[in-house]
Amino acid sequence: MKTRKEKANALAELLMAHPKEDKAIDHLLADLQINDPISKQNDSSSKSFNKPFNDSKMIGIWEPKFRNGQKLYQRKREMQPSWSFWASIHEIPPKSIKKRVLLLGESVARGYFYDPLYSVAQELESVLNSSGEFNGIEVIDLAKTSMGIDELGLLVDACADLNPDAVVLFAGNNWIAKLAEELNEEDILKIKKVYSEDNFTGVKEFLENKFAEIIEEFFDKVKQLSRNERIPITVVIPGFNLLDWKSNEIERIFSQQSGRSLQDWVHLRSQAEQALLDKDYQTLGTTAEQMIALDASNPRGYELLATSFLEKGQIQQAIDCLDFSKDTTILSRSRKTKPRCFKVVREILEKEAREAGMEIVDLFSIFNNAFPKSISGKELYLDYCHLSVKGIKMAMRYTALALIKGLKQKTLDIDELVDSPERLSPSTEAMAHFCAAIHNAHYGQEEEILFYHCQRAVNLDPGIAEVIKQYIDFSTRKTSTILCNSFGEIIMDGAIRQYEGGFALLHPRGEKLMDIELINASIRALQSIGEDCEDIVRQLRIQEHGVNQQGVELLESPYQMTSYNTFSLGKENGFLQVRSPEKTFYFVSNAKEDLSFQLVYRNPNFKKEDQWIKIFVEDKSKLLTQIKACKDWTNHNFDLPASQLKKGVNQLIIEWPCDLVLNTNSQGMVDEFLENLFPVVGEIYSLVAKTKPIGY
Amino acid sequence: MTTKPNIIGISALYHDAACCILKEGQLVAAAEEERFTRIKFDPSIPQHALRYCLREAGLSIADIDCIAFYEDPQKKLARQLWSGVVNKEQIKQEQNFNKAEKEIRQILGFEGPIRYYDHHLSHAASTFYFSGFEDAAIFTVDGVGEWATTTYGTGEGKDINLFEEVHFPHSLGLLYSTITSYLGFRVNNGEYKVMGLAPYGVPKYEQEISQLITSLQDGQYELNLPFFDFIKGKRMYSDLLPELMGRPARKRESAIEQFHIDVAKSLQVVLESILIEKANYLYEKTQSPNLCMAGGVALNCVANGKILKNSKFEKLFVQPASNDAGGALGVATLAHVDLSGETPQKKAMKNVYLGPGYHSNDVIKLLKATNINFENYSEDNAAFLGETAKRLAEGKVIGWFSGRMEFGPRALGGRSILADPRNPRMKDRINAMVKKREGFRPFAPSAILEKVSEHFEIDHPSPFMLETCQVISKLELPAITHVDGSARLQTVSEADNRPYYLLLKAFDALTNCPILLNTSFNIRGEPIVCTPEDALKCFITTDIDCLSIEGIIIDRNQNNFDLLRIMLLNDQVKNSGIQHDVYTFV
Repeated sequence: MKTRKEKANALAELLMAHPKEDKAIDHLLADLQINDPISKQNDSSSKSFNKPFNDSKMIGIWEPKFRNGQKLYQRKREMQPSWSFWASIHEIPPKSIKKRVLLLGESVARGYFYDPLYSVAQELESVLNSSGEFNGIEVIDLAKTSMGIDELGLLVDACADLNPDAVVLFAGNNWIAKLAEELNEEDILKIKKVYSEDNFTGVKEFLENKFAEIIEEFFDKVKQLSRNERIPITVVIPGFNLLDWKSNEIERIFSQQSGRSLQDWVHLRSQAEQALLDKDYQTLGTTAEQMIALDASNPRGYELLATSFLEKGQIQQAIDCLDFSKDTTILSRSRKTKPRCFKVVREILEKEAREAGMEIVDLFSIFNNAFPKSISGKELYLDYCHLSVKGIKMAMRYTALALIKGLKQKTLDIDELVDSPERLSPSTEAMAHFCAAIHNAHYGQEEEILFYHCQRAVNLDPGIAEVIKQYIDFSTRKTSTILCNSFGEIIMDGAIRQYEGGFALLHPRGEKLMDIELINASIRALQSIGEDCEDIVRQLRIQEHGVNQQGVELLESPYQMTSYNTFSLGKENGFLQVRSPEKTFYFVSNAKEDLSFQLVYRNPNFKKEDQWIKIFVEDKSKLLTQIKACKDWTNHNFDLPASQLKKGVNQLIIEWPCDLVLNTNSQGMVDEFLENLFPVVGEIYSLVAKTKPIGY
Repeated sequence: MTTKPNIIGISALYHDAACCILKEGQLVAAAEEERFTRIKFDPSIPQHALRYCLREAGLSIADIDCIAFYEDPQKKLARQLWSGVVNKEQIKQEQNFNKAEKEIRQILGFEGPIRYYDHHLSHAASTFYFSGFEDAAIFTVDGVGEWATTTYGTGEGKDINLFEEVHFPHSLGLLYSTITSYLGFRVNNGEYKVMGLAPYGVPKYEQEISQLITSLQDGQYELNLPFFDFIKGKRMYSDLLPELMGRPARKRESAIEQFHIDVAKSLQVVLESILIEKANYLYEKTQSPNLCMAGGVALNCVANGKILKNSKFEKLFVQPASNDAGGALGVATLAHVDLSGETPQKKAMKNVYLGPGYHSNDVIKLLKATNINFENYSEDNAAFLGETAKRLAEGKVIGWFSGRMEFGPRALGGRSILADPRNPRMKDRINAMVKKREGFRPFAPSAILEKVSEHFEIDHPSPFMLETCQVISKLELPAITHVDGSARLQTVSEADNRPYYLLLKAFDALTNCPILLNTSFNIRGEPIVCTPEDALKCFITTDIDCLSIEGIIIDRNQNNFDLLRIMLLNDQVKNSGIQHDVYTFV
C-alpha cells in the first residue's frame, strides 16, 4: 500500500512525462482525492458593468450635497486621483431656469490636446447660446478621458439626477477593451476553429458579432434613460482620421496565411511600395489587391489600395478601404493600438438610436461629406480620433442642430447656425499641434505628419519654439525624463498643461525613446522660423548616445524603439523578437572612429540552409555584410569603417529571410495562437556597437 | 568538455529571483531580479539579471554551456499535489508542469542543457563551496524547498553529501513564519522584525511555543500540525494557535504590545534551542570542526552566534545570500562540479560586490541633465572622502553609492545609508526620514577591521553582517547598540572594500570613531537601489541629507527638490491618462 507521499511522487512523475498516460493520471488523481475546484459562485457582477465609482448616488467624481435645501454635486475628495480625467469643475449647481444639456463621453468629447483651456462642452454651449433658440442653456461637461463602456453605463444610469433637458452621448472609441475582457476560453477555442476554417474574415465576423452584443447591452441603458426619464438623447458617432492616421510598424507585421508563402506577401509589399514611390497607381492598386487577397488581416494592403483609389478619384472606394484597414485591429497585433470607432460600433449605434427615435450626429459621414473630393484627415483630427478646433466646431454645430431639433422640435439648416464666438489663442492652438506631434510620434506615425503639426505649431505661435527646444533637450538625453531640468521647466511653466498636465510626456521605466523623427521634424519646423538647432542637437546626441569603447547595447529602447507600440503577446521576452522582414536600429557616431558590432542572433523558424541575413547601413542600397541564418544563438562580429558613417544618427537595417517553417496546428491558448499567427522571423539577444581603438 | 564551462545559476519563481554566472569556474557576477525591475522580492525568471551577468562576464547567451536551476520541479510538484494546493482542473489544463523549463526556454531564450538540483542541495552548495573549508558539516534550514525543510550533510573537496532531511510540513522556517504571521507581520518579509523584537522581551511563552514543535531522534523534529494551517497555502495557523497563546493574532500595523514582544522572544529561544540541539547532533555525526549554514533561517544571526557558542564547531561560515537568491550560487557551482569534475571556488568568499557598478562619468552625465547642484571630486578621492566624512561627523545622513552593488539582502557599503552611530537621535532620525520602519529594529554598524576589537567583543572578521556580538566600546554608540547590548557587525578591510574602508578611516580621523551606522539604501517597500538614477530618486524623495556617489557629492542644503519630489511621487501613481489602448482578444 503506497503512502500519500509516494502517490504524489508517482503522479508528479506522470504529469511531467511526455506523452502523458491519462488513465494512470486519472487513477492517481482520484486516489489522492484531488478534485475539481469548488464551482465558482454565479457572480452576477461579472456580467453586469464594472463599477469604477461604485456608489449609485455619485455622478462620476461628483457626490450629492445639499445647500439651502437644494441638491447639488461636488467633487468627492476621495476621488481626487481621478479628478484630472474629468472637467475641472468643482461643483455642479442645482438646475436653474436655463435649459440643461449633459455631455457624456470620452477623451474626444473632452477636447483632448486643448482641455483644460478649451473644451467640446464649452464649444457646444457657445453654439447653442449663439443660436438664439434658447433663453439660456448650459452644457454640463461629464466627459472623461479614457471612459470605458462600463463606466459610461454607470454614468447613463446616474445622470438623470442632474435634471437634464437633453443628453448628448459622444463615445464609442474605447469600447473594444470590453470585448477583450468578455472573451472567455470557449471563445478563444471558437476563434481558433473559425480561423482554421475561414481565416481572418471568419474571425473578424465572430468578434464583431460578440462586440455587437456588448454594444446592444450597453445601449439598453441609454434607451432606458430616454424612455423612463423622457429625456431627448443625441448620439454623436465618432469619426476616424482615415486619411492621416496610418497603421504602425507593429500593426503591419505579417500573419501566417495557411498554405501561402509569407515571402509572396513580402515581395508584393515591396512591389507596391515601389509603385507608390514611382507614382504608378495602376500597379499599386493591383499589387495591393493581391496583398489583401494573401492577408486580409493586414492594414497595409488596404492603405495602399486606398491611395491608389484616391489618386484615381475613387473617393468612396478609398474610404471603404481605409475604414476596413482601421478595423483590422480587431485582430490586434499591437498591445498599444489606439482607440477607434469600429464600423460595427457605428452601425449598431446608428441602428439602435434610429429605432429609439433619438437624434444622430454621424461624424464619420458628416466629415467625409465635408470633403467630397478627398477624405477627412489632419484638418479635422489631431491624431486618430481627437479633433482639431475645426473638427470640434464642425461637430458641435451639427450636434447643436440635433439638440435644437430634440428640444424645440425645430429643424434648421446648418447654414442657419451662426459661428460660436469661442476663439482660441494662437498659443493654445500651437501647443495642441505640438502635443499632437508628440502623440503621433509616440504611436508610430511618419515624419511628414509630425512635421505638419510642428510646422503648424510654430506658424501659429513662434513663441512655442522655447517649449520645443526644451522638449528636444530632455528627449535627447539618456536620463529619465522626469529627472531632466528641461522637463521640470516645462512643468513649472505650465506650458504643456494641455497634454495631461505634461505628465503624458513621461515614459515607462527602461522605455525612453530618442524620438529621432519627431526631433528631426521639430528641427525643420524651427528652421522655418529662423531657429537652427541642428548642430546643437547633433552634439547632444553624440554626447548622450555616442558609441564608445565600452559599447552601446542597441537593444535598449532609444536605439530600437521608435514608438510605444508593442506586439500583443502577454509575456515579455528577455530578447528581441522580430516579426517583420526588416528591423532598423539607430546608433550615434562622431564619424571619426571605426565601429565594431557584436550580434547575437537566431532564426527559430527558418526553413532551409543557405538562407542569408543581410545587414545594411543607412539604407538598403548599402549592403554591409550578410550572415547565414541559424536556428541556434550565434555570435557574429562585423566592422563598419568611419568612412561609411555620418556624424549623428546612423541606421543599421537587418533584413531577415522570410521563408519559414510554420506551425499551423496550435495546441496552446492565446499566446501560442498569436505566436503562430504572427511568426517570428528573427531573434536578437544582443547587438552591441563599440568604437575600435585608433590604430587597432 | 575541453575548457571549463560557463554556467548560469538561477533561483526564481517563488521569491527572491536571482541569477549568477560562473565564467570558467569564476564567480563573475550575481544579482537579484528585483534590483532591476524595482519590484521587491520579484519572483520572475531573472531576464534582467541574466542580461547584466552576461554583460559583466563579456559573454553571450550562445557562450553558455548550461543553466542550472535551484529546484527540482518534479519533486516540488509532488509536494504541491500532496498538499492539495493544485486542483484537478488546473492539472487538466496545464500542458507543461515544468514552469522553470518553459520560462528558461521562452523568456530567457536558452536552448542548451538545463540541470536541476534540489533546493536544499543548492543552499548547501552555496555555503560549502564558498566557505573556503576543505571539509565541513553542512546544515541548511528554511521554510520549504521541494520536500526538504532542513538538511544535514557533509562537504569534502568537491563532494557534498546530504545524509538526512526533515520533510515538509515539518519546518523550522515555517514555524518561524507562522509566528511572524500571528504577530501581524508579513510572511517572507517580517521575520527580521520578529528577530529584532525578541531582545526586548522575556521568554514568557516558551512553554506554549514549545508545544508547537517536538524534537525527535537524530536530526528530526515534528510540528504539532493541528496548530498550523499552511499546508493548503491559504493561511499560516489554525484557530488553535490563538487559543494556545491566549490572545487573538495581532492585526497588521496595530500597536505592538509587551505580549507580542514576549512571544517573539519565546520563539527565538525555542528556535535557538532546537538549532543548537540539531547542530550538536550534526557535529556528532560528522566530527568536523567546520560548520556551513544556509537557508532563510541561517539569516537569524542571533541564533548563529548561539550555535557556535554552544556546539563543538570551531568555525562557522554562513552564506551571505542565505535566502533563496543564494540558491543561484549553489546550483551554478553544483553544475560546474558535475560538468568539469572540479570545485569552482577554492577560497572563502571575500565579498559580495557582484552587481553592477558605474563610473563617475555616468553620474556626471545624469546630473548634467538635471538642475541639481553637485560637487565633483571624481579627480580627488581624498577630498571626496574628507567631505563625506565631515558631513557624517556633522550628524548628516549620507546616501553612499560606491562600486558594485551587493548580492544578497545586506547593504555592505556599496549601496548604503550611513550615519554617525554616536548620535542618540540618529536611529529615530533615519527612521523618520527614509526607512519608515518600526522603531524597535536596530541599525547595524560597520567598523574598521583593525580596530574592531576595541569596540566589539569579536576576534575574527565579520564581513557580511551575519553575526551579532556585544558592544564593548568606550564610546557611546546608541544608534547601533541593541537593547541587549549587542550589535550586528560588519567588519571592513581595505582588501574587501577600499572606498568604504577609506571613508571609515576618514571618519575615524575626524572623530576617533572607526564605526558608522550602515543600513540599506532604499525606501521601505522598495528594493535596494541599483543604478545612479535609482539612488538619486531615493535621495530626492526622502530626507537623506547628502548623496555621495562615485566621487560626487550632492547636498540637500544646496538644492531645492520640491518640484522633483512632487513629480516623482506623482510618477509612482500615474503615467498616462490615456489608458484605453485597444486590447482585442488577448
